[in-house]
Amino acid sequence: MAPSTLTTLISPAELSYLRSSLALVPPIRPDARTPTQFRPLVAEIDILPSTNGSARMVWGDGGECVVGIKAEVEPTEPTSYGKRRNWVEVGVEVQGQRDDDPLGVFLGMTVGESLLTPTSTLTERLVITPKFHWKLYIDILLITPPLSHPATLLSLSTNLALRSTRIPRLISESDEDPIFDDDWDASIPLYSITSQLPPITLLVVSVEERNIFFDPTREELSVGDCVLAISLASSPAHDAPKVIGVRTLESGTGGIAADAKDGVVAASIGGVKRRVIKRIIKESLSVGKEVFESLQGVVDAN
Amino acid sequence: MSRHELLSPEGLRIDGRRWNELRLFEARLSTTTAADGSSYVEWGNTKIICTVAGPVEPKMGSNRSQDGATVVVEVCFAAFSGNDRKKRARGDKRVQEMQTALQRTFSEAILTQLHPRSEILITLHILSQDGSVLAACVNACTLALVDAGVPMSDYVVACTAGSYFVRGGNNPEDEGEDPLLDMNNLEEADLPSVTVGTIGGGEKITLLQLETKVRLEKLEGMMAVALDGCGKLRELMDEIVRAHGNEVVRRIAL
Repeated sequence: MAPSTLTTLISPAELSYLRSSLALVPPIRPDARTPTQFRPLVAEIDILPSTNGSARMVWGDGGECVVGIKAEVEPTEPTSYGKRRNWVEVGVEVQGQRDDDPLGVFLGMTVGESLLTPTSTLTERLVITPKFHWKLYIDILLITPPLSHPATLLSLSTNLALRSTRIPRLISESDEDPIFDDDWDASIPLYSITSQLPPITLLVVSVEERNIFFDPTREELSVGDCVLAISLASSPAHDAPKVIGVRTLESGTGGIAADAKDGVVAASIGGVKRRVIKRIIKESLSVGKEVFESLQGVVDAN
Repeated sequence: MSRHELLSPEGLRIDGRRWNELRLFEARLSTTTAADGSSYVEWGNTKIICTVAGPVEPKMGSNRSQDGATVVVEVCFAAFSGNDRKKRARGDKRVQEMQTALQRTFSEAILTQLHPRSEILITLHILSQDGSVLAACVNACTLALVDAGVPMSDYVVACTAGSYFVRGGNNPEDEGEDPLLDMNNLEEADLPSVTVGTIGGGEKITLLQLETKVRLEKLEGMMAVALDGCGKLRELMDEIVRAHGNEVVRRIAL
């Protein structure tokens, strides 16, 4: 975990106050949201004419990102399935950071990881003929430096960009070198309406085993016991999504040791019970379904 | 594409404009909430996001000057902005040249003496390139600086002009060069073009960049056309800023 996204400027007393209000039943979040409520966001797709697919998303805390996807034809080497990892390249550029900044590399890896799980079906879509495939370049511009952890923002905008991605229609036979239709109107969407949609990643933080929160702010992340990034894949019929990956992220220092007195913030002894993780995954399925529905709304509105 | 097709015998360019017409110029202010000032400019298919931070305390001591604010410009070409995907490193020569040109232009236009020991950081994200990128950058910076409330003497407006060689055929008297206003990508690739930046859209030139060789006599005609375009653009930008200002005032009043 790149540390720069989790540094908070609030004092131990404030951390303690925040943690105890989040641990209440029902919990009180600093911005009065319910545990499963997301911050408001603005999204638009298909904004750049020179790309195969593009999306822009503005998050409630001012985080803004633009995603552009370009596809290039590449000859397929006759090797194992594992080589297909190179078919998708994710690059993240964070404003004001150097090119080789670890944050950008880390975020690119997080986004790429969920796209490339064998169940995500992305690489199957990139096959043109047995000898050729599309190489997908997903470039993400993070225009404002992240105020909260940008994993969800990047994943949702990448999802939208992938869904607006169109690839030219093949007009040659499958054993020839590929030739494509010049007409952009005849191009084929990478993800059709009836197919499985690209995966999304949601951040979830748990506090005191009792409460779990979606779309956490940076302060909420820093007082959580456990932060999970859950990757979900939806099925075409809009029934419950499937979990395709879970990754733990470093939580802050706000965890209170079990033997601490009077809610004094001390170093956490770390670890959560299995039932907490089970509950997080269960709840993210229902929240994930809602998120997929709202993303569909964005696509439909376009 | 051969040069002949850039201007049809009827006097129409490949995108259907006449020689003295600008592409559609659209802009929005305050697009990024997290920045002090921001703008989004769409000029034909050239699309740019500009954010301004400042005046703030300089991050680096070398940018601290007793005489006035330091203007720092950062230009990022998105990897997907061109026809082919191309990642440009920060140290790219062309990017650095653009940064220096913009930095000098805006150091002149901004009343820097009002904010000594501080820094104004302008960041430009080029999302889509279709010619006149430098000129679009200048216009985007101006709008973002207006949005940030940075004091400037007047609008800095830039525009490009090119020169098209007309073959006379059988009649040598028809031969000559036609100036073209506001170049797009295809025209820029084949014809000499000049970028002219002015303060206030009048005759005060602050930026002049000629990328290709052109006969000296032709330069005056190209500059005159570009200046004309700058004047039109200033009116457009002024309208956009005033409309945005009215909208802001209306929202405060509610």
